[in-house]
Amino acid sequence: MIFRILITSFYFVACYTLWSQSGDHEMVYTHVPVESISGYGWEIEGYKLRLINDTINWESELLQPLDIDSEGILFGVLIPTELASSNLMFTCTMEQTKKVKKLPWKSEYKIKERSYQYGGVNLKSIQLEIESDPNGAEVYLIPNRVWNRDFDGQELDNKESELLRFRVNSGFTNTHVLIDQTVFRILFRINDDFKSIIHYTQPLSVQPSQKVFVKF
Amino acid sequence: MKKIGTILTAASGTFALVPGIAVLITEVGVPPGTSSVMYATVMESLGVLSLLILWLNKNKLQQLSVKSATRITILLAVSFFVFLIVYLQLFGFYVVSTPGSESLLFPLWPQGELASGLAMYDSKAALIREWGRDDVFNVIAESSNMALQWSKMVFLLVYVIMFTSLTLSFGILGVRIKEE
Repeated sequence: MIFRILITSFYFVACYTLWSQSGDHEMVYTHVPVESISGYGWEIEGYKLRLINDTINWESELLQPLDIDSEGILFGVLIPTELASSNLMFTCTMEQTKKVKKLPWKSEYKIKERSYQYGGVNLKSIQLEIESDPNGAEVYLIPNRVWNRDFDGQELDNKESELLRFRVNSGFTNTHVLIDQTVFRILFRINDDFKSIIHYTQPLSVQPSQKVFVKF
Repeated sequence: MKKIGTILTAASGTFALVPGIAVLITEVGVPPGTSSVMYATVMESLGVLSLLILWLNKNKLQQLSVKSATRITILLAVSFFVFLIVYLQLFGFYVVSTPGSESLLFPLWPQGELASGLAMYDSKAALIREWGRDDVFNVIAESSNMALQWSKMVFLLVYVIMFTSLTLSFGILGVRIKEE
């Protein structure tokens, strides 16, 4: 009996260890710009980033654009750290749906789905440490161009939903993200208290790891 | 005199072939994001083509009066300097160096968000400082891609005319002097 309990316990511990190891990837948040293409009459439900080769099979959750215009889309995405630093090429997939009649003479509709894969995206590699005192602040990472266009001089409380799109979802401060050489307006928030700083990103060759800090 | 003619013909051959090879190896004067192989190929092809045209018309060229040959050579030499200045001006205005990363080529006719950004910040350097090098690169690619492709063609055209003028000027002199 004791032997059976020991075997069962050992089995559970081993299973838990394997399970926790397989899902326990450290994730990092990054902005990814991709080309915008037409949906050709299909509804665009969202986008996914994919990295599939002989050894890796990774797919992001369904992403909604942070910033979109006729030519380009900007995403915020959480990626396993080891993939983000791998310098591999990711593809973008547009997930689409279309409402079509089941039969031409009937009024019943069905939803058709399709995935359209395009483009190749290299991820950024400058590491930005984001810290605050006290810890636990929400962080919003907004390209300075977008900040000047959409947020500058506006009451931030009225821009809650737009702001939410730029929230770094890899956690609260202290955290880190991967960025390219874009100038960012970084917004820190604890309850309703906002602090913002502008980060003039240095080139990767000059400073591969950079840091911003704010004191409330 | 024939010896000088041979030297000048050899010089024209050098101007037809060497710049293309030099561009391929050093990428000198090639705007960022543009293929140096394409620059070299176009230059070599046009250089050889212009030499062949000279060779085909060598009888006519040899019959040119000294005055005409001098005039054509001076015109081609002036054309070289004019296109050299135009190219340097284009490069200076539209290629902005960003220390620590690759320089950026701006289109000759900015459009969309790039045009409004340039209007807001007055200069390309200020735009790069305020938006960041990679964001400007993305905005150029997104909002002014067609203008950027045309700008690259203008750069290539001016570069090629510059060296072809020099090749032709030495070639004409070489062929003409050999006759005497």
